[in-house]
Amino acid sequence: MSDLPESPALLAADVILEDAPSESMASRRTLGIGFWIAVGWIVLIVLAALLAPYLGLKDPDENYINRDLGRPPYPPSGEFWFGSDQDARDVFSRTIYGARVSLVVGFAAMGCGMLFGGTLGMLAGFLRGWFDRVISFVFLVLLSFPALVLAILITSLLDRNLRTVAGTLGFLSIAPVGRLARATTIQYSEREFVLAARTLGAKNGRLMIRELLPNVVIPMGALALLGVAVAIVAEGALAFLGLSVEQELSWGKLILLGSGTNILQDAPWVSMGPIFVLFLTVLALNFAGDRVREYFDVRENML
Amino acid sequence: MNYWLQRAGMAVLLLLAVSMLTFGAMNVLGDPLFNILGPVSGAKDLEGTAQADGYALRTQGDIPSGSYTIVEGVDTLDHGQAVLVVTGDTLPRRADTIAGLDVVSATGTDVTIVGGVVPGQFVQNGPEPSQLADVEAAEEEFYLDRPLPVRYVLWLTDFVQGDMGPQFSKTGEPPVTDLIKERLPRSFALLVMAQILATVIAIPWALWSASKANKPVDRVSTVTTFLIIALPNFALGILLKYVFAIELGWFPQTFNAGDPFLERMYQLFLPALTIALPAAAVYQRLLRTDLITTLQEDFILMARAKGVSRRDILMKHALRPSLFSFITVFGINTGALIGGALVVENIFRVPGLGSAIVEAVLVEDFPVVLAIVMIVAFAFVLVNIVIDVVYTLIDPRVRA
Repeated sequence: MSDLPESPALLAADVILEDAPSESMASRRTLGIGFWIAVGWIVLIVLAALLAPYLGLKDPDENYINRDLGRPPYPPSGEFWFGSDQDARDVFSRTIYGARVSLVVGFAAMGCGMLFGGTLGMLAGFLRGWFDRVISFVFLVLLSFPALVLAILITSLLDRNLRTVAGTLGFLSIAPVGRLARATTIQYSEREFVLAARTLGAKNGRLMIRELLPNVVIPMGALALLGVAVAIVAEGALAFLGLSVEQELSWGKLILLGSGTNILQDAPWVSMGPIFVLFLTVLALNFAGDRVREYFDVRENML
Repeated sequence: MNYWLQRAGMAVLLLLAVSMLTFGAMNVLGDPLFNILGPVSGAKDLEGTAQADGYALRTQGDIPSGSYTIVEGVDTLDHGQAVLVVTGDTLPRRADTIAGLDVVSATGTDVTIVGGVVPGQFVQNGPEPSQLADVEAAEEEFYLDRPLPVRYVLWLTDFVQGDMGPQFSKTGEPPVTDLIKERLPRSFALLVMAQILATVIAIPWALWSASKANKPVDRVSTVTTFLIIALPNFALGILLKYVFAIELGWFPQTFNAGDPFLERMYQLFLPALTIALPAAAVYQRLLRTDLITTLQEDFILMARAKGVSRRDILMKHALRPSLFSFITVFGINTGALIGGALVVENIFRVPGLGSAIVEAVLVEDFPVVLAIVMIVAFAFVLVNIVIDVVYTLIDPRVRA
């Protein structure tokens, strides 16, 4: 650990965030059917978002007024799977189109966090010394207040488009990702195989890339899945506050549009559709991330 | 003792870093003067642009100087007002004066201007002296004429003494301090209520499922926690609002600041529950895991051998040593809950800090945003220190 006084609370948090091992040993050997269902859902949603214009969906911005059904909003039916909003726009196709922004922001933010946070964290954990101290302090500052407040702050100062929102959330994911990367790097850099490589004359760059990186990537992968979920939810929260991407639809914005007291009373399906899809996606990402972590979480005493 | 000093020093350092980052970002990325005065804030930039013949130009980019004609149909151009030039080499004609200058001859058709205009350019009149005075007054009041580090120190000195400065927007009234005094208690009540609810839900739930570890009931409750955690708080808030406030009508949909205390607490219940449920799920998972670990210790076996009832083992022997990670996460989570409260306050229309920061962000009212960010950061640091103290109280081992 660095020289900075760390509270027992934060130290304990490191341990807790790793989470306890699951009770059942058997369930750890395979990823399990649940994992593949979760992955299936994620793939499905990603494909739907990518191929949205070619799926023959209704136009998300077009008003499909149907005289037989009377005045919109229309409840869910064969024609409107998730119902329609008060302007007779199809909630289902809006949800699929909304996935595009939500998913792009989610994955881009996490990619950004992995790239910068991972690199900084590994460097800090490997080099130690003053560099580690500075980086750790920066991480601590970033983690020391609610990410959503920071996100609100940053998005309020910038033009709100896809790039800035994804960039903001990516920036915010640097610290949590970096902390894990640093901790894992420290843990592995004291192991014998690193010492062996060093004895054989490997340079720092080689040690980091060939010896440490493959070991750090695995826990990071699990974190990445959880992180995408967190980023998607964060984008939703921002959109819900009216601070996300201004032009396009996203799940958060759809939920916001359906959340007014009147519309909630008359047509709860307008918000429930996107809520349902958002919920399933976050659930799938959380579950897959959890499984991956448990799967690779081989502790010494189990060998 | 030394440890606590270090800890306090660290906390102060952290708060300073947070405030510098926020202050810097808002002043560099934003334009405080514009937020205070609106379009008038541009007056100073226009100062040099007023030309001797009464035409003020504010051109974008380099345009060759030359001779231009007055645009017909536009008679006057107010101070600071801009007009788009559409007809090419022409200029708006004006009849009135810029203070201190003579009336422009209405008969004149050719005017020479330094700079020049092309179609698509904005032509803007020079500032009124009173506007310049406004700008200077504002700059002085908000310290905007000083360099950034000086401004930061001035702001910090005021802030530490409890003066958070005037609001940028509107007329600067009420002062930020008063706004915070009005809003803070509501958010505080909401958070306290949420944490109490979460604890009240989580502890019995964890005790119950730990005592039935890995039986079907326990598995169902584990899955339930997983589902709750996957539901974002804005979605949960809307679900709860729909079910309990709209369909069942058990709770009011909004918060009314004028109602008596108990009524207001009742109005805060649904928002508090929205924040509490996911927190309770997190606490339950932690506490359950720790309880299960504790229940395998020798002293539990000992108690059981002595014939202590299951209930007493759980409540009196196992619970206290299992509380550590719960307390930790309770503290860390406070920060996350503050974030959640921002969103939830907006769903249930609770005029607390959360709605205040969102309103302030939308009009770029930096002093308000800054004050709220600092309060949040301070609360967060404080909670962490309190948790350290609680640690030493419940665990003699940490006291060493």
